[in-house]
Amino acid sequence: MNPRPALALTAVLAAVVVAGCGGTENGSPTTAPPTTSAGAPPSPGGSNGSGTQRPGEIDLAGADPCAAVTEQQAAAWAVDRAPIAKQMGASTAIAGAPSCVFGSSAEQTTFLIATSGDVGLPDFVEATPPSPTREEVEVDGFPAVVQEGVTSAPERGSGECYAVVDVADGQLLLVQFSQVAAGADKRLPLDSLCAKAREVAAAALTTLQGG
Amino acid sequence: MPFFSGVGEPVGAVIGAAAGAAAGAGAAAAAQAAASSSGRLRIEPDQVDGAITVFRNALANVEAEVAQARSDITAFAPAGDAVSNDVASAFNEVGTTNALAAWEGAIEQLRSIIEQLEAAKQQHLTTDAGNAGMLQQPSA
Repeated sequence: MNPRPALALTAVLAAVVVAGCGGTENGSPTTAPPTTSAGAPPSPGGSNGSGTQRPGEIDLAGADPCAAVTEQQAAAWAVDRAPIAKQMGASTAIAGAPSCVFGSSAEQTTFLIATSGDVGLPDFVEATPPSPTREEVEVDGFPAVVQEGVTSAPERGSGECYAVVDVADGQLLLVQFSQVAAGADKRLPLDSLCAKAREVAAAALTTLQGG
Repeated sequence: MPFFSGVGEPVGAVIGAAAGAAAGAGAAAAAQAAASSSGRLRIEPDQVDGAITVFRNALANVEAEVAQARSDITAFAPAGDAVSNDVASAFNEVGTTNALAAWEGAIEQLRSIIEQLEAAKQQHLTTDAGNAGMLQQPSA
């Protein structure tokens, strides 16, 4: 087991910038305001009620996370089985939010996508335990945090990393990319898992914007 | 340890006790029905494809459960009271280590069973092809 500091339980308002999850930024910030997943007129980018800078707003209310990446997009991560719909647990900061798990038996990887239409990134960060690996990033111009999960043991092929994206005031997209006991020839370092979580998040943003 | 019967025996595959438990976890009615009282799972040659499907589905479901559980841990929001915080602390210090070890064990076992079933299937196909070839040899 990779030694991990015990998580403090005091909530923090700001994300802590600590080295940990690297990876390159996926895609470039969108300059044109995107359309919403529901097809409603997009909210303008730039300033909004919270002052958060985004290239636009994506309405995730009622969004289906199993449809957040297309079959064509999923092929990039060698997904070779049907997505499985799940739901975030009752004791989580986004309790009841729909989630969906995609898997690759060939690569021994899975990724999970969750969409919350009523909890935003600042509230998520405040409500959940702080992580020493939490890093502020952007995914396609949207503010996001990336952090490693606590059940990681890279030496045994087990790791998890998250990208949580601020898509609109009070709404977020969460992506987890992970492995459990992956074979020696399949193992990915944690920074690769983090990079892939961001890739999946970028793909999901494209799909959810109607692209 | 799981094992399979030898080539040419009438039984396609025999899997150890772990397979019975895994099949149960995967709601594999057919495989459960075939579980013997010794805890081993006997699979006839014509049922190997079905068994592979059952265990692949079980693996997919277990991996999905694990992915969701991990997300729930990361997104866990303590209620803020002392009891909730104590429970959260205890789980973070001990629970995550134990949980990961249990998940790794279950998933490794399922992968092993699938690999063995696929190997048994391949061996059976090879034997069948060899027997068919011998039957087609012209007599001297």
